[in-house]
Amino acid sequence: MPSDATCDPRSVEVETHRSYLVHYALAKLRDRDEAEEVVQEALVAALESLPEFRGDSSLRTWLTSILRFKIADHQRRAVRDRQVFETPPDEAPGDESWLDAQFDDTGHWRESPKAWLDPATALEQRDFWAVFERCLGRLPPQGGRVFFQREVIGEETKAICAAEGITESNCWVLLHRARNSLRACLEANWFGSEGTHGR
Amino acid sequence: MADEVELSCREAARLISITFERVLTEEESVQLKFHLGDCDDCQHYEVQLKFLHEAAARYRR
Repeated sequence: MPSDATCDPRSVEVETHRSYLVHYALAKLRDRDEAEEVVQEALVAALESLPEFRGDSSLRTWLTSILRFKIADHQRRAVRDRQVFETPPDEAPGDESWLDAQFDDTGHWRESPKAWLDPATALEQRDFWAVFERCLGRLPPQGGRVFFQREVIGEETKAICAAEGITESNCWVLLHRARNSLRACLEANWFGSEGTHGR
Repeated sequence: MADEVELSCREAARLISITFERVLTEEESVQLKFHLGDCDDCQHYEVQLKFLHEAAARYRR
């Protein structure tokens, strides 16, 4: 959708944050279509008020605060529109059998975690963040939401578990699983393949 | 009374992950330190989870 509302060069930059914002909305709304819709609303609103953005905070922080209003709006509407809530899919958060794939019967790693080469440099590379986002996207829905709220947004575990309707220890299992999946994904797609990245 | 039972990597990994959620009990932290003392795999794992933690926070900004 072309926008002639602004010729502010920062309007191009706004678009580069879309994927982060969708992850953020997804952590709060659980539904991809709704998340994308709300992000679209937020970005339209942001482009309209871009001239008021003075850069006191980072663009991402500013966009996130607009998104938060839109999410709250959306949730209020959803409560009005829907009497009955669907129960989230049961992923058996307390289930630890997935660990069997990572550890053998004696509790040793089936595949040893390797030393990662130069992780600090990775943080400065655009390609790394594309891989990071792809890995985030591969997490199972509930684990992904919990991880995003805990580690990316930095919310308290207690509040996150309460919103998810699960016990704190089940939350820890979900987080542990998400961390394990992410580290394995990054190792396979970034750190493991020495020399194939960072051109 | 210190429990002399050694941790497996599976248990050590769980404790490492939990350090991001709560303070370990004295017994847990002694056991973990002991395990990390001669387990390269879990040392790598610990470094990697710290990196993930930092990367996730950086992703927000």
